[in-house]
Amino acid sequence: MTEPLLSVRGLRIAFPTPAGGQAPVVDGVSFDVLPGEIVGIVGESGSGKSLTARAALQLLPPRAAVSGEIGFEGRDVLALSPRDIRALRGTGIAMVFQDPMTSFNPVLRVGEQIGEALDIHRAPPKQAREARVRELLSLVGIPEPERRARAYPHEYSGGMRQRALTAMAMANAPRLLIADEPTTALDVTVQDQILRLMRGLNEASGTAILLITHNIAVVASLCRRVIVMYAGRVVEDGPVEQVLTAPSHPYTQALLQSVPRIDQPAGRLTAIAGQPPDPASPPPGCRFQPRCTQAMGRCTAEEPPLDAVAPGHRARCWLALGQAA
Amino acid sequence: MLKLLLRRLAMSLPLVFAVVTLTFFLVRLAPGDPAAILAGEAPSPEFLAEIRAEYGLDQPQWRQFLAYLTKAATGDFGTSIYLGRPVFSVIWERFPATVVLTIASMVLASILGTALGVLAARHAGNRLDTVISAGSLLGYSIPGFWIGQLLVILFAVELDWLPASGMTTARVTYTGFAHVLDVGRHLILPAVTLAIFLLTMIARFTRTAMIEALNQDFILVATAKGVSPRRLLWHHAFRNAVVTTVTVIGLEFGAVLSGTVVVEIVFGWPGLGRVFYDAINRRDFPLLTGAFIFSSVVVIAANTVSDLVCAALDPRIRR
Amino acid sequence: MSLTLPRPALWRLPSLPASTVIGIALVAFVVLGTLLAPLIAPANPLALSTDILAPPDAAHPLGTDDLGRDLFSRVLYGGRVSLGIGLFSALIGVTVGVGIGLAAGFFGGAIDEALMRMTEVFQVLPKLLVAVVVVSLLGSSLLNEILVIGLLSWTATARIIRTRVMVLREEEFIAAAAMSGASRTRILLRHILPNVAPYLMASTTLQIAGAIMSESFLSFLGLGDPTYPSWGFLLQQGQLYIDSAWWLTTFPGLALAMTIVGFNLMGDGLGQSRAIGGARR
Ligand SMILES: Nc1ncnc2c1ncn2[C@@H]1O[C@H](COP(=O)(O)OP(=O)(O)O)[C@@H](O)[C@H]1O
Ligand SMILES: [Mg+2]
Repeated sequence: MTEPLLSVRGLRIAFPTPAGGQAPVVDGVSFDVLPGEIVGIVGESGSGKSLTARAALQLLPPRAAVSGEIGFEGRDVLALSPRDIRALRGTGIAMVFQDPMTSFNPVLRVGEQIGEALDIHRAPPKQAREARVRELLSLVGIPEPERRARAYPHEYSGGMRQRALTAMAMANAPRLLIADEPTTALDVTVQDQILRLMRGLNEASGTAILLITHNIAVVASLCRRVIVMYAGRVVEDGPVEQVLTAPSHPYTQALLQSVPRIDQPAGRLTAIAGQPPDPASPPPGCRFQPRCTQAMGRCTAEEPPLDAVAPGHRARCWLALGQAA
Repeated sequence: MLKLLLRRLAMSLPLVFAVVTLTFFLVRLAPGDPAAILAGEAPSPEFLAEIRAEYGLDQPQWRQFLAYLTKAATGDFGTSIYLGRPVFSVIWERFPATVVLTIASMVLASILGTALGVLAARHAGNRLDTVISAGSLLGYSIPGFWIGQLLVILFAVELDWLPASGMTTARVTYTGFAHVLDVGRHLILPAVTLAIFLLTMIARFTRTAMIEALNQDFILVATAKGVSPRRLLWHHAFRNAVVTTVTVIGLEFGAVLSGTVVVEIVFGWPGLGRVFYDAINRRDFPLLTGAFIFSSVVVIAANTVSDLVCAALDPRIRR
Repeated sequence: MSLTLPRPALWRLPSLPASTVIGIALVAFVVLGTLLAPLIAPANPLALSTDILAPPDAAHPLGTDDLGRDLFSRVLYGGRVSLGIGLFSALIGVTVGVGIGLAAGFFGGAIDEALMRMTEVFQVLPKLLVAVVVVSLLGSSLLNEILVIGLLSWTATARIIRTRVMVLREEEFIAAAAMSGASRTRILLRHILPNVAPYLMASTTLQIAGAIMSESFLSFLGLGDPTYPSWGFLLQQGQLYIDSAWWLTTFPGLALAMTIVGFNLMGDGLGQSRAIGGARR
């Protein structure tokens, strides 16, 4: 078996509540990403996807209390010194964020910002840097890279900006690219182009991708494995074909029923009745139980573990584990 | 950039026009005969007639207005009643001293104000931030001339460390570097006094702009690239906040120039401010209105420059 | 959870930020002092004596001026002038600012554009120098000072009110009122004005601070009304004796600084206070 590239174990992220307590918004999350693999994380907005991703680069807000382990190439990311984590950012793990409109510094040229990513880690001579910036821009399909490098972010369209952002993330050939809802702010045709770009990069450079989305259709078209999160917990985890064709967890089933079609703008997944629980006071037993149509006695009494339902396929549900009674 | 410059100039000229118009009508609104106002107290009938002819006061109002505009446009603000010399030459002679004072205090205020604002933003919510914010409230709440007076009492009268008044030491003629040093010693107290207001305004607005900039997504993106905290602060956040800093300097320039009037009185600094003071107290209205129009033009010009600098710093403003 | 009953407003005062409380205390202290001047003042502020330029002592707690007048009494009475001019100019400034802000925010379009251009022009002008020229030409009187300071200081209020009105205009209840057939004037007076009212407190307080500052500037230049000597006027006199009688500058300036700091602290606090900002919904 290959060693995982990223291995998250028992990750817990909590914020102080006004009442003086701690509200865990990510609670006991564990999963792996193998080298060169594309893994999706899906879940409703607020389920803790972004925070999980940010923890991998020590990018959490200062108020957040983190525990657990995030192994990357054998090192615990959470324990790295400020200096070491800075060296890892962009080279080992790079990130692309949701909103390409606000991800670039508006007063610096796009080429400068991509060049900065190169400068920080290897400080190439000016000419080499500029050549590499042009190369990166054409790699992500930006025409006239020479001219576009000199332009400012506001002179780019949304889709172009997301491409440039991806180019910036790829600048130092990272082993893992974390893309946090990279297409949510874009319109559908552009979404498709960006996803195709990501797949292309994965195939060409072998960069593993952790793709965060609330759009399960995106997962279907791109990922090999998918992790489903609900209320700060992983509720299902397995190969895409299995999870999407035979979902084990009622939440995943509900997600699939509410799947937005690829030819429509991606909306929030609101088709499931009810609200996710307040992280400060989760319901007793299974966290999905108040909204679950199949809930039974044990579900309100005891929280199910995340256990294998098939080889390589885990679910956190008494029913799926055959232990509902 | 050239287009922007032209557009800004097109906006400034009506402003200058408005200032001149305002002055024209004020002189006419003033109680009494405009000729008497422009001629000073107890003029001889001949002199009154002369003034009437010079300003065309026997002409219809609109012609007077045109004449006034033409004169102002060519820098002809009339003759100082008290000094008997062209107003413009009096102003031009005093202007350099004010420029020295203003520039010295603006440089001081910009550097210190920016540093304090950035520092406060970096420690937003902490004790250091509270101290800086409280200090800046004091700085713009306390009248500058009173701070100047206290500085004179402390550093000049009591401690006798620095000269209390003037721009150079009287009865001694220094040349070359010694002269520069001498002026520098005289400059310290008035420049500090004048800087306080601008400094606190800069600190206050820079702080807000920096806090806003540091909360932007692009800071997170840059952090994820591996950018160092220092570079995040200055290269990324401050490059955005500096536009606010420059805007504040531009907007408050009028207040700074007004401040020179009182500061120059407190420190006996021989600049434009003294011209105002003397003109007020001698009821030398041609001198007063001339100094006013001149100062307004300087303020408007400074504002235009600050707008252009902002445009150079922020590509989104350029068009 | 304990039961919370609506408490009288006064009881909630201690929940204001400390800086606001300090501001209110400073202002209250100064206002009380000037109001009670006839009771506190050791002497008639105009009464001459042979005790010329005497430093502070038991008889004259803040010393005397060049004509032997008691400085403490002059500071107390001078406060009446400074505060009075500050208050009335602020009222003028706020009234004009509210009018312009309401009109710009409510009508939008060309009216807004024109009014905001005018606001920009006013912001750029060296206002204090304009005031100097106006008062010099039209004469030094309380009324002229109040008018000129008031009419030059409406821009901040206008901007705040405009922004607020624009937000309100979009809000549902205004839309609802419009649909139920209320006239524009009625919407403006019945719905928008009451909702900007909480902001007026903060605006007025800050304007008073600014107006007192402007007045001291004019008086220091010799443009104050000599029959009503304000703190700035006292400071102008102090300047003449700056190398021999420090008290003449120190104490009137201290009163002036305390007052302006007090009003600014109060205004900042009121502007930020959610309790007041969201009071009337
Ligand atoms: N800075 C923060 N302070 C307090 N709570 C936060 C903060 N950031 C995120 N949260 C909470 O954490 C939860 C998970 O957030 P996030 O990871 O952004 O969700 P997702 O990306 O799945 O939409 C949300 O309920 C959110 O309210
Ligand atoms: Mg998210």
